Amino acid sequence: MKGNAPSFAKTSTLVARALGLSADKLKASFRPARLADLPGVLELRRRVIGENLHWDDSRYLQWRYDFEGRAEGRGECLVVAADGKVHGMIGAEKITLACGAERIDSLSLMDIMVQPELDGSGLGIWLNMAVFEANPVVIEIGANPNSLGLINRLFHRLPDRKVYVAPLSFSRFLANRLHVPPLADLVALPANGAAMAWRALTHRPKPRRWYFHDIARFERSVDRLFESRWAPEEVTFERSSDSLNWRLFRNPRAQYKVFGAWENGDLVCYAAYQSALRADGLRAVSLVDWLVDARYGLDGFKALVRETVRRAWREKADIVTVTPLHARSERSLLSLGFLAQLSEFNTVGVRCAEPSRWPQLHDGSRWCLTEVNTDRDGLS
Amino acid sequence: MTKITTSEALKMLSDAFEEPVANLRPDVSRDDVPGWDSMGALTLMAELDERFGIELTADDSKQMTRIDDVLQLLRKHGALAD
Repeated sequence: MKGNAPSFAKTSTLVARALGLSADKLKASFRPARLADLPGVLELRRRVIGENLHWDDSRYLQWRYDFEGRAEGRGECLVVAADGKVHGMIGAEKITLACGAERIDSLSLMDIMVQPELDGSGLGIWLNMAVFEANPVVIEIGANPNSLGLINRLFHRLPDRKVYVAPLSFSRFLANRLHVPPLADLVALPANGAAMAWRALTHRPKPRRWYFHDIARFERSVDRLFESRWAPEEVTFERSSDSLNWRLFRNPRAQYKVFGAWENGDLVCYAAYQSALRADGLRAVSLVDWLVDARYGLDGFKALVRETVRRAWREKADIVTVTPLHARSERSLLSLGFLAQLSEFNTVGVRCAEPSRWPQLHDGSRWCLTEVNTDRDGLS
Repeated sequence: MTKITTSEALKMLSDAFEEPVANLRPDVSRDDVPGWDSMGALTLMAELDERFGIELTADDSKQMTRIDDVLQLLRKHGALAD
């Protein structure tokens, strides 16, 4: 543990006491959820998420997690269940990190929830620690403000993922911030003009032989694209046709649109985005994932962003957002008319058992993460 | 039981919350101490348990909303020397 975080043994004692168990019983009650646990897990989530839970959670959970090998999920829903009650859960998705030709198995943690009456007992922290015991490389993306200490003390904190926004209609974008509609309209007029002029000035046509097409299902061509991806020396989640079809097309909680560019019959890049009405009333198109062939690199990325913005216009979106952890593409977003929202960020923490096989995991400038690597699904 | 002074108690809180001790006056509220989150609260619980045998429940922990509440808790358990 970093800093002065309590040890796993000490935390086990404290949490076990809060649950009225022995430390050994607590450890024994931590296990992958079975289908029989599903009602208890659903009840826990109803209590924690409350009125924001507006999707079919049973379907969602059985899509995301592997309940006794019967569901299609790619992760485990781990629970602390004792005396017929689910006290807490943590989602652990099995992922493969890629760096060059090397691969490393890891877990991505999400969905950490405890019964409201156990808030403050340390159970959420204990769940993280219990996962560390058996898994050498663990990643946690996107902690809430109450969990920043957990990221800071139990993980190596990578640079935060910033939210980049390109307003397509400044009047609604500014109305949300200035709260004085006439003033927003006044400022929006020149801002819209300036943004259009900027886009016209910085516009570059897509590579001549590219043609864009919607993708309804990934084929093996995307596996080849991953092998020939831009900046393979960076650390990223491995993509495959199987994993992308599962994540983007079979997700019962969110719908994604995907398009790709082909050149001479080869897939040379793709982008996935989500179009949704946000809680603040803005229609947002969010670019959630992309992959570009090394031959096109940054220029290919920019062409994908321009195409996404063009589609957002067509869908009458107010804003386009991107939330990456990728130094190279982030720099180019500013030239494409995106503004960094410094007040909004998503944390990223990585934890490796020592000695780490990949020292570069601790170097934030070596990472390339997109929104698809999270469980956000555009929920705000 | 080991007794500590108020300034030693503030130093303990500074370590638990990873906050400079100068920022931890009795009237400072929990909301103004970024490190007094779930991790900070757990670290404090562990410290109180180990050093003073004080078994803090999650409810007790949540009800402490100012630095002074922790000092009062220490005083109530006879752990504060001044």
